Amino acid sequence: MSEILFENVTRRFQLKNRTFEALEPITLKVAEGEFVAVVGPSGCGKTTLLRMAAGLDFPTSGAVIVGNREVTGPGPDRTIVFQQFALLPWKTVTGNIGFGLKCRGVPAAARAEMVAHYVKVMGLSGHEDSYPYQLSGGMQQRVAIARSFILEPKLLLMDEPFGALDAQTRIEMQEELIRLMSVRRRTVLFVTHSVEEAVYLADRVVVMAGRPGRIRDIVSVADIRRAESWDSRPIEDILEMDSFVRLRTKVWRMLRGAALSKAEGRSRELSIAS
Amino acid sequence: MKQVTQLPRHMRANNSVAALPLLSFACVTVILGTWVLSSLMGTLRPSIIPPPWDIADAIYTLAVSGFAGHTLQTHIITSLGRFAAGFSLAAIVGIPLGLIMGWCAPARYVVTPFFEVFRFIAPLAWLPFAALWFGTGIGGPILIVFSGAFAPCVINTFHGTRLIDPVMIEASRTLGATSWRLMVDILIPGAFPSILAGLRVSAALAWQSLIGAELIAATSGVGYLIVQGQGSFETSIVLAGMISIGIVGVIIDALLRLASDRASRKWMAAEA
Repeated sequence: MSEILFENVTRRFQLKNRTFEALEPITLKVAEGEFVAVVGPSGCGKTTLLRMAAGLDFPTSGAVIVGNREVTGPGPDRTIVFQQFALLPWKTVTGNIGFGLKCRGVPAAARAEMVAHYVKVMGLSGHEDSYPYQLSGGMQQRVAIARSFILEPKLLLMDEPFGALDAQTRIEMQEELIRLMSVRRRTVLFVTHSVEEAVYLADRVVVMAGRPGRIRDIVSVADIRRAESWDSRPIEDILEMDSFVRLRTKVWRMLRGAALSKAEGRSRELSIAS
Repeated sequence: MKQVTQLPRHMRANNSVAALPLLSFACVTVILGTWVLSSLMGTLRPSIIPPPWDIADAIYTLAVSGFAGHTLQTHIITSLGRFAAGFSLAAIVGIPLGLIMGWCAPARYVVTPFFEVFRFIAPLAWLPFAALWFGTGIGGPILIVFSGAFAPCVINTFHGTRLIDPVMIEASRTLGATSWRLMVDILIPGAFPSILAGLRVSAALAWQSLIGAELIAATSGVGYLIVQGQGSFETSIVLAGMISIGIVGVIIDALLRLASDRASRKWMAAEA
């Protein structure tokens, strides 16, 4: 079981002398094997949501449940891929990819074999002994993804994983992710700023609004994705398909709506103040 | 029209940067030259500062026939031995302490109050206790060196652990790193450049404190040599001792810098 369930989750941050409501009660279920992308304005709490699933942050009230168990900390069933890669600069590509296995006590020989496999799968051959700083951003993120995938997590958490990459590398990585997912289906919670990326990758796109963070709407992509077999087509074809454009525009409108209602709220506050 | 902002002169790229080391050379030459000339002309009396050749002579005599019981080399080696003992002790205790402070918050709160007070106490203030506890034995100078070298070891190691990107620690935790793995694979390598920088600061302070201690409570060593020189009004011996201290200090620092440059090349490149 690897579904994620956010049950009436709220999160309040204590700043110096005021409290900040990061999340209104949120209920969201990510089904087993489902790919859910979360988009929303900065500060809407989407990363907080992801961190709570990872066990790096905890709800103020409500519960985060992964596979029938409440999350109380990081666990072997979940891995996270960060925007900043977060590789260990003093370890080689091999050392970084194998680090999780080492932490879990996998013997060196077995580890080397698995690492070699993922080096090949992720197109990192020839860079086994390079240090992260010797690699391009795209390569570094490949290492970070390999380091996650090698642990065979039931649940993959991705926090704007391609946000720091240039446009071309970003597209390559998106295709790569689709390919990896088609090899082996996993439950994925994917946070991004890019509407295009969300619609291209996800079965469902969760649109959030900010201050306090809440779910504004959820757009389902899964049916169209399956009917038009997106996963087996090159990305440039999909980007110009009517169905894709329509969905992308729909999500965009919702996001704009979220932003507009926020602006209204602010102008109302202003008029009260003056 | 808006004026183009110009970088200050020293920040502009130019070829004269290559000539800058010459400036050091020129400055040293001018000062040495003034010293030599004013000594020759008699404006600078030997009782104030002895002429350079007297000092050269003193160093030669010290090296060959010795003073205050030993040759200059033996004095230096004695001092270096005490330095090495106190300095390594400070590193052996200080670095792990700094790491533990970075590793576990309770340890931080236990250590900090003591540490914050003790680090302001000059190493020489421990001298009465050094004498009380160790008499004239080797322990006294080691204690003084230790108290000078300890704080920078701890502080730099601790700050090194704080400089590690929290995302890296979180990533490691989600990958299943235990506290022990965090220590070995994240904190130690992550703090490594800071630890090395701390060792350099610490070595300089240790060497200074040692000489201070030898000035007061020792029967050998470079500091003792200086006191004995003072006692017999041999200003050239005093200066010879001072110059030895400076040169040995520079050598210690150069060696540590070499080691740290070599060891941290990987790390520095990673940060760039």
